Amino acid sequence: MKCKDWKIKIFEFLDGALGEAEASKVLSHIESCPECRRFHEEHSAVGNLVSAHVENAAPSPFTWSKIEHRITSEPEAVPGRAILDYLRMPRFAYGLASALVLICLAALIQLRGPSSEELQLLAEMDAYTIEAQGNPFINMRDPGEDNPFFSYESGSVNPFDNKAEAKK
Amino acid sequence: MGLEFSKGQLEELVKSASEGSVEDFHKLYEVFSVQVYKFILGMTGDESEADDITQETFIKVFYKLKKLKDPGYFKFWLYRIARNEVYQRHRQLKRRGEVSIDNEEIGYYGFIPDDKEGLDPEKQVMSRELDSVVRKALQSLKPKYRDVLILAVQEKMTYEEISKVVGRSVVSVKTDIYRARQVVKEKLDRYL
Repeated sequence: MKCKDWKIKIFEFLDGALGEAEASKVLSHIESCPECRRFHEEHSAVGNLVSAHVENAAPSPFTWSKIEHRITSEPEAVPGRAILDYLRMPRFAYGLASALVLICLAALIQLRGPSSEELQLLAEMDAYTIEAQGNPFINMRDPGEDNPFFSYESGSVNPFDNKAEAKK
Repeated sequence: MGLEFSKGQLEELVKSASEGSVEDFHKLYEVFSVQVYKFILGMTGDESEADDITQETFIKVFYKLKKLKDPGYFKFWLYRIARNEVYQRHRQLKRRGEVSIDNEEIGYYGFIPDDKEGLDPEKQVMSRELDSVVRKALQSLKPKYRDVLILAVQEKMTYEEISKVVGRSVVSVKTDIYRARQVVKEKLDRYL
């Protein structure tokens, strides 16, 4: 095995991933190979430094009291609560308030209805149309002689009634 | 701190806490809080942030404990939640344009282990400088390398255990630890 391969084994040895037999092989190689010995010493020192820099660290003595207070005083987080929290954010509150104001304005305009001046104007426009083009509703009530359904609608003759036709 | 419980006793505590026992949840906190805090501190490099994230982690664990099917999996699940909380905080800070856990320009975070108080002033300064350098070396790593390195070196977890925490394959975990070790070694070379 080359030193390159031994170095991978050294990493595994440092991580405690080797069994006894393999670990002793690594140790005997380290003793006989200066390059791998140095590699092992350096990486072992790196591990020690990384562990040591938080060796005496501990959470604040008040952390548990804060946790206890939260879990005993707050109701259990329920699904959807996060969405509600999200909606309570200022940008959503402002957006929602603006939308409500617009909806209220639109509703007010609809409820108010047309003013007397507007009604007067509408009546004048209708009168002008009737005078210029005739009353369209009168024509609708009088379909004229060309309408094949005219007789049917008046009930005199039903063109689709074959039995009535046969009686004739 | 540092209570000793057998595997079976721990599983009983987990079951009891999942049924709402705050007393037993406190025992779980006593057993795991220091290790989880060290892991979070290693990840963030900031003492007060580590305190906040530890708090949030345990609160989340308490509320979600009912969903944990296998109490034997508690430790890995706890670390997984802690890791997710760190990443979530990182994303929040990034959105707000505040400090990032990838940022190498983080000031000295004031964490001074008590044992350094007994050293002579020159050694105290050296020791604090070394802590700062180690912290910066860790912060310079990509988060995916940093978490596996801290779990392997600081928490002494096996590759299989780390794989359960980070949700990556054992091979990927091994490769990432290998790369992380090399990067940190380069950063700390002049102190070795």
